[in-house]
Amino acid sequence: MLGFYVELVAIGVATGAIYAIVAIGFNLIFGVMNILNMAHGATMMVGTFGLLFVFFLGVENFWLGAVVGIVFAIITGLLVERLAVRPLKGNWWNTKVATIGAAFFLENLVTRITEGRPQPFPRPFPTRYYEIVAGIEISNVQIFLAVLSVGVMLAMVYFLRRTRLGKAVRVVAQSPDIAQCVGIDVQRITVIAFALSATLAGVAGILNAVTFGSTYPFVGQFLGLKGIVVLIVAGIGNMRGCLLIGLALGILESMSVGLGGSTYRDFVAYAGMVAILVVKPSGLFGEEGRTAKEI
Amino acid sequence: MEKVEADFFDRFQGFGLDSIMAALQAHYGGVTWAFLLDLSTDYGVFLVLALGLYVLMSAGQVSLGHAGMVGITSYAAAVFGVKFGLPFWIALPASGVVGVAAGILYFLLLGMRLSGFYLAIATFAVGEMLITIWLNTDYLGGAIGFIGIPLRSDWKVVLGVVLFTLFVVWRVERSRFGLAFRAVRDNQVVAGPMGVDVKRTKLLAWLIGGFITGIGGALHAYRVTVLSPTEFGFYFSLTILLAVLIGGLRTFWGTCLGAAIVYFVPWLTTTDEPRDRLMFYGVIIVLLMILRPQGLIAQRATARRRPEAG
Amino acid sequence: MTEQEAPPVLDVKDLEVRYGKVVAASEVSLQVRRGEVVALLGPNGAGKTSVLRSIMGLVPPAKGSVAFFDGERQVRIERKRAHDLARLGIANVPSQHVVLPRMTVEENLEAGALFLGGSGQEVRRRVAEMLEKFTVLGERRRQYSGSLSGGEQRLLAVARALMCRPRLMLLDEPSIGLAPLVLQYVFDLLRQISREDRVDILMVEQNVNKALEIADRAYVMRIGAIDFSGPSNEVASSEKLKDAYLGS
Repeated sequence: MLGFYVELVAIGVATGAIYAIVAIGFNLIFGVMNILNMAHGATMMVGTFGLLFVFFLGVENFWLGAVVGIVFAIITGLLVERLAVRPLKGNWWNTKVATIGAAFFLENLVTRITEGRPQPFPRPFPTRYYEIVAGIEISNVQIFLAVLSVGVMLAMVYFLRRTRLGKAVRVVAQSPDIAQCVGIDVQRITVIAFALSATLAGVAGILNAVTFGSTYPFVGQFLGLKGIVVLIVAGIGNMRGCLLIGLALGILESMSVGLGGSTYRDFVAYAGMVAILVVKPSGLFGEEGRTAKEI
Repeated sequence: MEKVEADFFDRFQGFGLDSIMAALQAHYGGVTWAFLLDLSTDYGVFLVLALGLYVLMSAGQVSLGHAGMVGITSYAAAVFGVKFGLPFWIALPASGVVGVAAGILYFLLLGMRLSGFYLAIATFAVGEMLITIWLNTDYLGGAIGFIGIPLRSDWKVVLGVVLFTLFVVWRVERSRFGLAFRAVRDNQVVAGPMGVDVKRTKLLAWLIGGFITGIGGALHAYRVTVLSPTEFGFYFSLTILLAVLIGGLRTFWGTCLGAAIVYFVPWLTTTDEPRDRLMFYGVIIVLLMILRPQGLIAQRATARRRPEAG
Repeated sequence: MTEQEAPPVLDVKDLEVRYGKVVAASEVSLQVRRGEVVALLGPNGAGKTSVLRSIMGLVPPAKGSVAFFDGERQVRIERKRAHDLARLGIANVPSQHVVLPRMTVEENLEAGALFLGGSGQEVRRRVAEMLEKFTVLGERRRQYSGSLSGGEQRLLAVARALMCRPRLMLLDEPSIGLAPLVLQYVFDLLRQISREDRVDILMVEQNVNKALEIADRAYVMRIGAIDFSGPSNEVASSEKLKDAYLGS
């Protein structure tokens, strides 16, 4: 019985890790521009199809495909920034809707190209199960995911706190005015933030596809929404919060699936989010006073 | 895992608008007057729903999950008619009342405490939660859906309701409530001291919007005759939202225009492929936000804000 | 070239600033010479903040030129983007969003020089210097600047501006929101900076008295144009000053 729970937790950690990476990607953009990039999910999806494209061309190398996928994601992210974000000058409502439009477009474009069916997705290495304690197994994929997500979070925290570029991002996030006064090119930093966020999106998308063994054009919607939930509950601006809440969500979901059946899985996430919004909108770990600007 | 994934895949296929169009096209095999009448009737139903959202948004109550409210009232109407055996002309106002009740709930839970961005996300989340609830409620047909609703919304009924709704919205907009709505929307912080009771105004918006959505939901249920939980998802919310946004928030005629564009323009594209229509929507949304975020019928007073004069 | 013959540190000629069709300021010419503190005064709506923002690079001017002399060459800056100015030696202190609230005092200071090229070590050294110089900040170096008092924040903003070793400092309403005692402190500080650190100052100010106390010269604007100007003692006693503010 214990083994069953541990497995649920392990699955939860694996999916939670992905949610965390998605949330960190959102966090980056939200922090810098105070907008929610609703096309983040679509960017993730493009990443997965980039990898599939490489395979389609006959090159069956996962890692090469992953790199290409991430490149596709970055290109998408930059295009979204250039076409759907920059012209809107930071108005969060308009940008939110515009990025939804962009996501719509991308998802349907990919559906047209690929006939819309779920596509099987390759794995980077054959799944092997390791027995940790009597009868309880976890897979190398899950370990990989857990390690990667913690790594991503640490890398992001390091980047923001210790590198010059990362500090520039933080300055822009707190005050674009002051940023300009101290010599930061706000436009350039925004583009960099988008590229970085898109990279994370690509990574998250590919990891997700590996976990489920497949991908489809609308995978980004579902994953992106979860990322938003994590972000809101954790509070904007806190990277560690994203990791914690992401994992918590993953585990919570996996528990509710294991114990209650799959249909209530999302309910948990959304209910939690509404609860937090009603009680403490700045999130559990959010910096005080750091709530999304109203229009 | 696969079963759940398929559900979600279906969910995004369940684009209510789309299946109606496809069904119509199959049924009529081409454009005839009867077809146009039918399409216009559908437009009328959609318009009522959009006007419900319009009322909400004109008071600044952003809802990204309006389809959820539509679902509540549609199911209510269906239950009244099929399970309780009430005639249509009772079920219609009854679901209006349900809409009002739903509006109150939305207000108490969300509208009262949240604004703007957070309200949008929260309403969206509630919408998704509702879908999950409906999927699991066998009384309402669960995942298979609520079947067997009689077809009662023909063009005469819809026309009547549309006119009624337009009248109501027109009166509200021109009344002092309409002004109050605008004040709250534009600047909550200032509206209070100006003598506008912010809470009451918001509540009113939810009540009226809820009522309109209620009767719209009844029309909807008695038109499509089958209710499926997944049709009340994000995409549906989005199309209604789009209708309101395209039209702009200055006047309800904007929503009429916006709904017409959302409904009819895709038919101008000669392709049969529904995906192309959706791609088209995507591009439209982006262009709209860039070029004319205030909507087509915009407020004259909205000039670009100047920095503080000094 | 002696200091007298050198071009003015800031030379603004016939500046016109528009927001869309609205003309906020026109035919504005002013200068800041080496060693000066210059005040730009005028009632609300006179256009002085618009002029400053244009000089700061936040709003491109519709007409006119702005030239900055860095000690060797004169550079036209009216088309430059705001973030280029710091590198040239022009420091901006805006009126709102004075500090970076979620960063410490130390980090705020660091930000003042970090993005201008130069090694991390050099930046750290300068930060240490600044913390020593302003003991108030030194005591609070690890504190989040959002929790500082209004006066401390203003002080931090000025110190941050000094981090880039500017030749010219542009200040937008430095007196805003400050209590009288603190006000005095900040303005004394500005005067001290101009003398000791050889930083020239152009400030837009609402508080006419304080500004004229430390300024060498002043320009008074009215409805989008320069009404009159002169050495501060003359301006202070001029009848025109009252007229400009009270309207006639």
